[in-house]
Amino acid sequence: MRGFAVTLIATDANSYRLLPFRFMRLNTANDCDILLTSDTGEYLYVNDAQLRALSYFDIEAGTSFYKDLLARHFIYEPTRHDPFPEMAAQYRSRKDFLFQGPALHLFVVTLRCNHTCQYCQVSRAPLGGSGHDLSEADALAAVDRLFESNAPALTVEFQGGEPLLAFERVRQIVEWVAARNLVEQRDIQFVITTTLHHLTDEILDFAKQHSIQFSTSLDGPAPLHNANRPTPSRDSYERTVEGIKRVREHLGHDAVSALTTLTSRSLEQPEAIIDEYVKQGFSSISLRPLSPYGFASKSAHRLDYPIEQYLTFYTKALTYLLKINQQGTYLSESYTSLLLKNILTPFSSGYVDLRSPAGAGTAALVYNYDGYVYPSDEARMLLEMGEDGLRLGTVQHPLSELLASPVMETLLASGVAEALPGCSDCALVPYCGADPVEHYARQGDPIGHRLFSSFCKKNMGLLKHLFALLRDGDDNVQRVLLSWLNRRSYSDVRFPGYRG
Amino acid sequence: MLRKDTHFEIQYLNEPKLLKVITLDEFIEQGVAVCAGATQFNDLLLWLPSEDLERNPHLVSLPVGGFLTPESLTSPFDNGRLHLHSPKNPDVVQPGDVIAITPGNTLVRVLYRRGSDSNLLFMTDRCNSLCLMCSQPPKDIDDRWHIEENLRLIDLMDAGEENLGISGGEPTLYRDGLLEILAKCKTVLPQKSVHVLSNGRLFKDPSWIAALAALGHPQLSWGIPLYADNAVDHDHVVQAPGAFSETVQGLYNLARANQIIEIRVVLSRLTTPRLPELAHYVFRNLPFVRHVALMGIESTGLARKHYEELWIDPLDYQEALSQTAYFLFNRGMPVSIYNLPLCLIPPHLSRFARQSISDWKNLFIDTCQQCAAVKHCSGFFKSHTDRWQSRGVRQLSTEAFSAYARSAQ
Repeated sequence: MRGFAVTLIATDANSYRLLPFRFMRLNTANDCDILLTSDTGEYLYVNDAQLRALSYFDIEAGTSFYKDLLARHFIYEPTRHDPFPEMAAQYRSRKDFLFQGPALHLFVVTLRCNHTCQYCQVSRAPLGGSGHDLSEADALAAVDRLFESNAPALTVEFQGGEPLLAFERVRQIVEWVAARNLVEQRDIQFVITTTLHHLTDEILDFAKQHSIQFSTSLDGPAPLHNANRPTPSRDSYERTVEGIKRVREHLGHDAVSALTTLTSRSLEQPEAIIDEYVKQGFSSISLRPLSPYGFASKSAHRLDYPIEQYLTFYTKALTYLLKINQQGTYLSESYTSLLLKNILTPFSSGYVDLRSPAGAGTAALVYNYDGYVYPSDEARMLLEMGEDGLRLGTVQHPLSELLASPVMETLLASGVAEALPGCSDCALVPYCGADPVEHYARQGDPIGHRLFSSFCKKNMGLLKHLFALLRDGDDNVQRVLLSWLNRRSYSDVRFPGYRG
Repeated sequence: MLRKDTHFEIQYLNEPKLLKVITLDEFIEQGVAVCAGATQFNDLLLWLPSEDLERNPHLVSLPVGGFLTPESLTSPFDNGRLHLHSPKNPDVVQPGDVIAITPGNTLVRVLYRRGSDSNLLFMTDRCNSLCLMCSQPPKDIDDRWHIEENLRLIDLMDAGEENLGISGGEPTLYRDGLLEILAKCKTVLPQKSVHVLSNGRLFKDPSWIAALAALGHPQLSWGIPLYADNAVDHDHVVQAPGAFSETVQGLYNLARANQIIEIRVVLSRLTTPRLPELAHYVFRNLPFVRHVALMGIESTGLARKHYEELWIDPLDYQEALSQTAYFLFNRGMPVSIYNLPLCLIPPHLSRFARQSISDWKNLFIDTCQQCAAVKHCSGFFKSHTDRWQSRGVRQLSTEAFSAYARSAQ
């Protein structure tokens, strides 16, 4: 029988080793201005002296800083504890999306549209145009591709053009998918991305039957929306708002969500745009900058803006959102929520544009109206600009062939952020992603140079802003951010708790 | 609090026995089917109040294992068969219970109490750790007989859906016995959820993964203690070098076997200073954990010996507790506070507080008698003493309690 005497377990001084980490100055007034991040996404804010002590093996064992570094896998004690099982688990959590094939399947049922938006991300064909619709044979083949993915949860999204102009094809695809799913038993969500201008009771009844979600575009108050989105009758805003109302009456309040496209006009009015979303009763807003695709690139001189202007806009918008959320209005910014998940949890949001390896093709596939398959919405927009380099093949090829295409090889070879020049030593890389398609579009090269990368500037700007906010923001700011993280009400997050 | 043992006068007992107490109605309507598993008539102990005995004396010819009269006998009675009567405390043994008795001893132990959520299969007194606050100090003995007793006990239980605990000592030390017991729980007691308390160290051996996966118990969960986010501090609390590494690897193996895992933290002067950091460690490294229990210390066993090192007034770790509970709650990881009376936590933590102390060792002290919260409070362990009493223990007025009730919603 062992005695009950207390055994003291001592720590040897200076016996630690370093594990891979990166660091970055946040350029704030806070003394702990250096952000230290581990390969797997743990982080600590430290001051200059601490970073120096860490690298000179000078941290005193047993201090709370020493234990923080140990527990977050910045250092380890070879004779005491092997941290690799934990680090492996953290890698696995953060890269969990790799275990699944493409989950997002976009069906471009037509290019036709009633709008003539200058920035259109997609390009479009006139209302009565022909040869711009997805054929029945191609649609049927695309449904085969959908079920070749091993993802247990699939999203089937209808895009355009204006997909409701080709509603009969939408209906056919939904019915085929639903019938196949009786056997497949996947968790399937249908989404129609639409202006809602062409809604009919028949469409709404069908949507109800298949729990179809609607995703629409709302750019802000009427003058801004209508200026961004011209139609012959100049009533785009009114018709979209009417559509939102009809969807909600038929299918419930949450059956419709909205996305914002920000033109240089929009950047002047963050509050007005947010107020419009509050007025329309939305619980999330997506403040995304203009993409360099579709017509947007050609009319860049009028509509585009340097990403720095966007960052200024974002900061203002986020400040305003934090304020109204504290006053009891729940409205989250969706990209912020995704970044918060990457920062505050061991998991990745899995968002296509924030993945490494890149999500193009591995997370999403686009079945274009012409029967070609693309790795992302953006890649097919390049085609409309006159590039045809990013096709994976035709919809008649099996998924395995499409994913083994030379284009996928190129994208993935330039799609691992941890291995890209300029990203590999960036402290923010665990929370960021790789976007070879954007770099190809902007710089003509899927790797590109970070100095000229608006993807890099945007994500670094937002991440640095959020890291500073998570450190310096008061308790109520933390509460709002945490309420977005798990979509809980602000009042339910009564205390922020340990900031981690 | 209802003790789990009392004394009876026992006649004609010539070997150790486990018996199921059964009423006459149950005997007539269900017979041995009142037990969940395989049983015979002589496993049954007929509940026979003296009134019934006097009215129907022929009942004693029924082919059961014996009779139990839950009061003193009014007239002498002797028919040469096993008979328990004249209990010291008549409330302890009730119909449906399973009791253990041994010859030459008047002690009657209740091994299963009908309808209770605190029933326990005790596996062993042995342990491979020696935690400073252990409430049940380990003994280095061969006590494999617990395995057989538990297998028998499972047969005699009701089939109902109460929770069943398995504890020790360290239950995994008897690996084959534990797996056999779990398999039997799955077959005989499919309605009962089973919660095993283990330090998780032996699960470092990956062969457990296949064994647990093959077992496939649908309602099995594991309560594994973790006392720090680093090896030095954890190993000190459990007094076993290398324990942290073993438990962490064990947790991953349990996760690989798709087991349901709860992390248990006993709150003491040693564990509270880095409690929020521990929550962070759990969330970041063990995100598959289903529940975190933050548990007030039980002032018995080895804890008494290490008072100086362990004791901290719960009022002095309220802030750490709050930081920890909300960190986990805000990230969607369920968290509970066990064993702390409501008067020792701020109202905003009452949503996490549970009435966690097993019924047989739960008591309320004099201060509690007029307290408005007493029906909703965890109260104290029966081992509670003044030395381990917080300066914050007090009566809550109806008004004060309403703040707790509001917060709990």
